[in-house]
Amino acid sequence: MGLNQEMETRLQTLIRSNQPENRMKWLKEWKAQGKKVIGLMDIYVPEEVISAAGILPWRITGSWDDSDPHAALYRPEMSCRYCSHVLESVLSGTLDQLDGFVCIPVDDDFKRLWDVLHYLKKPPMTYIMYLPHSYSELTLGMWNKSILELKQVLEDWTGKTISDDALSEQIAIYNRMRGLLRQVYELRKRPVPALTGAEALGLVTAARIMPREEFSNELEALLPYLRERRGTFRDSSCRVLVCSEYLDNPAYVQLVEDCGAAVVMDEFDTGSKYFWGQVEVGSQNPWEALGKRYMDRPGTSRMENWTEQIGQIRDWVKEYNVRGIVELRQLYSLPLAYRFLIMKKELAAANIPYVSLDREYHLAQTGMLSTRVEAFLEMIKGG
Amino acid sequence: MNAQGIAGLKYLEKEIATCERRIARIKGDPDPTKPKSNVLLYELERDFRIEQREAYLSGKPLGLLGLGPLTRAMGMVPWDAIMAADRTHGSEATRYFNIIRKGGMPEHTCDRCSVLIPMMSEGDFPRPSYLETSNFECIPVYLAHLIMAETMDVPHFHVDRPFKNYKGELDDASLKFVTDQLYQMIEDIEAKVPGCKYDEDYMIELQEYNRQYLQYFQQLWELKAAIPCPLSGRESFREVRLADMYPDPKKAVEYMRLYVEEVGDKVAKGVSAAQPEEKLRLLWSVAGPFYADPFSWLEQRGVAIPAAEMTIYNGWFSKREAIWGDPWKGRKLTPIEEEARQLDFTWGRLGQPWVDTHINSCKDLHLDGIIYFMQWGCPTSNNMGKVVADTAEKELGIPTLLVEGRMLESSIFDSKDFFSKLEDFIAVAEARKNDRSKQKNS
Repeated sequence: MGLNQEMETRLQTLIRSNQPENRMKWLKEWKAQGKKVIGLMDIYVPEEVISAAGILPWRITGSWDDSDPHAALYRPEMSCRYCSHVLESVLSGTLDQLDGFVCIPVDDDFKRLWDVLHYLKKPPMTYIMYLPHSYSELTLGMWNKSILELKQVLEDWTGKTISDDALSEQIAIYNRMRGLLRQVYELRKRPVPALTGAEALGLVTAARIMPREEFSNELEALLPYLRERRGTFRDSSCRVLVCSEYLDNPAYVQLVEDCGAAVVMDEFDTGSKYFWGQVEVGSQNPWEALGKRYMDRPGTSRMENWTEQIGQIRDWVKEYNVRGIVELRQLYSLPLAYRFLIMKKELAAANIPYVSLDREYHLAQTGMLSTRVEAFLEMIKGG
Repeated sequence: MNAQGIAGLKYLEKEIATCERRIARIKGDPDPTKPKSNVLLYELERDFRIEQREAYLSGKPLGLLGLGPLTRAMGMVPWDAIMAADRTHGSEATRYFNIIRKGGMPEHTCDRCSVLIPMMSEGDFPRPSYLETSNFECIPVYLAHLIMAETMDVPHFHVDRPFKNYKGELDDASLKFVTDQLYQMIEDIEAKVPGCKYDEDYMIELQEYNRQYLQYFQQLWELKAAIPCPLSGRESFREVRLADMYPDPKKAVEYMRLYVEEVGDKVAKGVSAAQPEEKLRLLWSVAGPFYADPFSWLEQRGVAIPAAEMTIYNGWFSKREAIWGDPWKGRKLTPIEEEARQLDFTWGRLGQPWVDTHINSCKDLHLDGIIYFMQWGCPTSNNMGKVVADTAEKELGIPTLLVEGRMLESSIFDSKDFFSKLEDFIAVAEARKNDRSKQKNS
């Protein structure tokens, strides 16, 4: 096997880490060492604190099956589909090995999912922490307090103190991971990006289920290869940015690329938003520096700073030479459905082509989606 | 000046005319036994809409700041588009939904928050001058206000509440956090909205009216426990508009006093809303298909609905939630602290208080079951339906009907299916009631 072939195999292995057949591997290995694993769903739980407690923060991917019979008893069809598929995974026993679940009530769907899991005592430890929906000195103070409460809960649960040094060590580990992912995303700016959008999504979702140091070591080893690599695109000139939330199935991004686009950037909580922004190092109080990092960024559509979020998207359009935006908003999830109205207005004013399409959480209605995406791409190519 | 047809006034003109018609009908009824309080209610409603119309035409600011008197204390006329959207059921709601679907707007959220957007974009309701966005109630309302502010260039301020029951837990830090944000908002309004200045004396006066008003509701709660229940389901379901919302809050208090007196008379006489006699008492939760009037249908089958469960209201009525002026750790809160305390709705909290309020209502009012309306697009309540049902079964031995639907948009309503579910549930609840009676007697 040549060097490039070996590196390609390693890259594909990393990218495929969050596929259903692989994703439990890291959790099981961690548990085999007698250590605990906590499930997370959003990008606001400060993972560094959990890691500093010796626990693996493991992003929960819901069941990718097309039905959710167990969850349907608790959640009507017209509810956030990601939350329903997560509940399905819990109730069907797929996630029985999770020791805990830490949730942030970014919206009512998350809050009520936590309520149900807490009621059912699945997993055995459930904790919900406060996150403000706006960013000011005042709300940052409350958020910092919330992080310290999480610290206390984890200390009580594990019986171990989380020291400032342990936190600082994890901050360095996470900063390294975020820095590496940022380097990979820089390679997507090239005329022919190093990775497809589907591959990039696979990579970031892998980061969230693996021990972060192990992930970073592997990614760092792959970087020289990635710098030389050219992703495989049907048409690399039709560069698009995809917006979505809780999208963890790369098949959706692949669908867009199969229609003739190169997905060169994303606005995903499972993508760029996970690793954008670093924790300031050298700060006297690492806890406050940590809190600031989690708030000091455009955030997800649950946050009230929609104008900043759209400003960030506009910046990415320029930096990544994007010709159009495809939004794959999750059915029955409300924030993107609302933000759509202001997105439409702002992007039209900036002459940025934009289409917003509903999708299920699991892969479904691909024919309809392909038709709509193809029509949009034809429009931007024609323009 | 005839304002008919001016953008922003269509809804107001329609409501003013409706209230006038109702007032004339009641006043024209020679029957001395008919309740008189409704005249006051419709006059209050009419005068509020007239006030909004005059404000809009004269350029006086309209706004929405939380739920209490702060709006008026800042010198604004309350802007209540979400509550107004509730009154657009039937063909009007369908018209709005058609606009929503055509424009790709969010239609999977609750009806009131969906309808709000075309109602505003079509110019049927006046544009506000300032909005508070907040998560104190639910995410759909927060998002609906945020999109209104963003798309209509309305200055806004976000007040964030913690999800804990800080009111119940007397959590000083959370109360201070919300209070501090309210002070920041007041400063922001004074800087951005000409003519607005915080008037604390007026605030205190309005808070006192709210207290008196809710104290009457607390008396009403006790009357609702009477068997048979004289209140119709429609009355039970009427959403609370606090006294401070009206231009004449003193009159609002007088309306409640008179209303409670009339209900008391009916209780004393043994009047039953359910016909021919009350055989079952149910709690109606969340929302309902208002266009189909299920309440009258139930009453004709001997089923009373003494109470509805939504937001925080039954907590206020049952004295389990503090009302304006109640002490906080033995002290009186400052006026702004009081507003901060009230921004702690059951819907904005974790699910347990929502479960508890159902159980408490059923216990207080001797209820035999729950009709839990799974209003599409209401993640706050929908996703707790089964937990409420399981808890009611376990703790009280009473059944719950979980039934999905929309509250305003009627074009997809299957009347036969809906009422057959109600019919079946009545049979189940009645059988269960008989079983409980037998067990009690044996």
